[in-house]
Amino acid sequence: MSEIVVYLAKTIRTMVRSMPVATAVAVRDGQIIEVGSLETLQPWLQNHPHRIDDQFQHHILMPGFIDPHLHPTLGAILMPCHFVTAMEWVLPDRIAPATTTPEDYILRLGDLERGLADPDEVLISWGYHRIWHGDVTREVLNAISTTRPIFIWQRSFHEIIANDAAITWMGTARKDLEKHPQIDVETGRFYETGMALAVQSMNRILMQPARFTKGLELVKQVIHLGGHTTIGELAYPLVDDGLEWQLLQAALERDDVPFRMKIINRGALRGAWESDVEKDLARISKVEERAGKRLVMGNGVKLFADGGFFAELMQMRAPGFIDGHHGEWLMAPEALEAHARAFWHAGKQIHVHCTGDLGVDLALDILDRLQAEKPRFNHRFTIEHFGVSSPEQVRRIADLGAIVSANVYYLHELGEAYWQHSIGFERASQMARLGTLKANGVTFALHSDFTMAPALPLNSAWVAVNRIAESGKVLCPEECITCDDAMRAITIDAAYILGMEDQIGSIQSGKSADFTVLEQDPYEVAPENIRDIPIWGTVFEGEPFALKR
Amino acid sequence: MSPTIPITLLSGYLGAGKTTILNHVLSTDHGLRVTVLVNDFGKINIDAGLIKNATGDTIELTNGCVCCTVGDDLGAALTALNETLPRPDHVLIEASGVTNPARVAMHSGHWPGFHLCRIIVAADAETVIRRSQDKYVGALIETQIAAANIIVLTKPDLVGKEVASETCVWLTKRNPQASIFQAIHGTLPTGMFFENHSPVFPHLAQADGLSPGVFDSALWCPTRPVDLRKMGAIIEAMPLSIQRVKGTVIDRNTKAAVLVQAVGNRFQTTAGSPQARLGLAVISRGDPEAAKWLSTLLDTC
Repeated sequence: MSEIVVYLAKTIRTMVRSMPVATAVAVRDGQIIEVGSLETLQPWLQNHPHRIDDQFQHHILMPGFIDPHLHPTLGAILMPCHFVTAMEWVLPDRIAPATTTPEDYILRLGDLERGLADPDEVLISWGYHRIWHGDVTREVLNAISTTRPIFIWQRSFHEIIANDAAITWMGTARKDLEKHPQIDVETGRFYETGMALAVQSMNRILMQPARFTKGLELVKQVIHLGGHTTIGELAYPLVDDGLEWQLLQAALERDDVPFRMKIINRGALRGAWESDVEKDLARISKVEERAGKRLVMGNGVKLFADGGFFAELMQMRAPGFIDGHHGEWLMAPEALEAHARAFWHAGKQIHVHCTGDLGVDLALDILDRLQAEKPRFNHRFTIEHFGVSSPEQVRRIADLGAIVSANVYYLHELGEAYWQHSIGFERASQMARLGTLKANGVTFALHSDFTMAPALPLNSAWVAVNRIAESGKVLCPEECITCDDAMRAITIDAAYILGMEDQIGSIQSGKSADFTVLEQDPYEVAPENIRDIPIWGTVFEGEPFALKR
Repeated sequence: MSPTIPITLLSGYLGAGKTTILNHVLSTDHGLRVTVLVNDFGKINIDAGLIKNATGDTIELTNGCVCCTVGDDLGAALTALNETLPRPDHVLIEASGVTNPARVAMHSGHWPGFHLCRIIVAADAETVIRRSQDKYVGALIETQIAAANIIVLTKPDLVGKEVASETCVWLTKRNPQASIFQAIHGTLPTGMFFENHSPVFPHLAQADGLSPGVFDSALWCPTRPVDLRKMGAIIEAMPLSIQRVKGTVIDRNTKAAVLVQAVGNRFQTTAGSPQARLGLAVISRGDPEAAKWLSTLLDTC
């Protein structure tokens, strides 16, 4: 047994009601012995060898941040791309500044292109957003380079714009591009099904193993940068277990990795949404047997109701969308129910992706029936994302014992856009109604679904507390939550969503010594400044990991 | 420059009978190299005797069909198909139950090397009307029906003639341009899937030379080799409501397999394939008793 290390801090926010604030925490062999003050720790210290570590004496300690829903493999594909974005993105290897005008967009892209060391590099840039960056076309991109293939990827993955060099590089016959109704060769726009054609070519680069591995390294740094000590991969595998497991193990099962990742298996694989659930149960059992230190297995499975929120494919109740389009189902309601039933009877924790209020209805209807068949307490049926919902649905969530993992960042980036162009002010301004969840006693966590939102828990907390949209306008202050609620949602309640609340999520005797070390106290700064609090780094299982500067 | 490969899309909600229809296509002798793209092999039921070769994601059949699973990436599967030699004559794609056929049609129909031939939508006689009013999938059902060139009403035998008829009327109202076939156990003239016409898009021209409307489809199975002369006489005298007869029988005189075809009253025979399943597909219109009447007569051959 090693000696006890006592970390002193300016303030320790334990997230435990019985002792919300402390100034010292004793740690041994990766575990918290006790939290309190140097004085209250004496009985332990007097009886065991120990040392005092005061490197954090001017810092704030919080429980290590937890994001229960993101996707490292998706991040690994996107991270090696160049970022020219409307919002600032703070990344491990660069800061992509906020680029907010068409002129600046062209300037930044031009600088990027000229700065590329490899003359043969195909420039793939993510983050284009018409509202900020104006109309970027083939001709505009040609002006930047006539020789280097340039692909611009729209921020929500709606379209790709290419220059002539890129179109040539694709290798697709021109006539095939010209006759496609969703490709406009004149402007270089590839959208919806047309985009699939561009992506197929780009995959030659995006899916290169070396590039992917580098991307995964960047994702690890992104996670550390956000102050996370635990994350949840909420839909494993992306495509291929065999390959992805190897890559994840190689990247994450290492002593220098300052976080753990909980794996939640897909209840049905992509492209096999109507599969035989017995096969899925068998597949999942096998994966759950794998024991790891940082790759952690559990009891969760992931199912999908409606389509993506950024893609406006959520299923909406009346009156639907302004333009009358319909969302989509990822799983047929019967298939979703059959899968949920089998997992429910197997005692699993079921997570369902629900973006629109009709998706929430379906999930709750199913849960209602399952409860009638076999009542379960503490089942942790989780609504994931929680874009649009009604207050009555929140009561129903409470009545059925369900919980929520919310992507509140939707409000910041999509609140105004969806107000004007998608579903109107009333429902758009009330998206991610955390205030109502709190009022109904529903446990909830915040997540990023990185890369849909930045992997920054303090940023998500800032959105939850302030509900500030892109323009700075506040949308539906009635749904704001307190700083304490938001802190819980990125620590102890996020641990609860992951079924790990006994081990992590608060600074308490017996739990894992996971801390996030902050320069300022979220409880003391002005609410608008929560997201700007600098992070020193983390402590993971008792070991400090400073952020590299 | 090689011609583009035609794609037929088979769509329809979960349980509408798409797999039953696919099983029928995969076991019929249509003499074409057809590649069938399915979501998974689980429900595909092919006679072991018809399997030529099978790997993890591909099954080759003796009738020239190839059945492949498509994961998540239809585009990649199509690109691979376009590059295999020999190229398939036709591709049949099974869309998932919750797919909007217009979107898959746009995606696959404009993929390099391919064009959209037709969209077939299976509608379950027992459930389609009720489902069209369902709060969750009603809009999807209407979208699927509206996208069809051909609608196949499945399980009409489970609802009885009257309900089946009413359902056909209901379907016609929703898509006046579509041809509607009733099919039991997925039995359909496979020509309807593959007869190669100029590319069609949803809501445009008719499929297969058949005008819009409701068709009945039946399968007559011979129990012994037939007298072709007698058969020809029967077919040339059959009522106009019977639009088409086609299939393979054994000639009583030569003991050889013969492909029999009749369009209107013209009766033709050509050499048939010894491996073909025996039986004649009968398509009629506006006279549900006609096919039964013809079957009784054919039994005497």
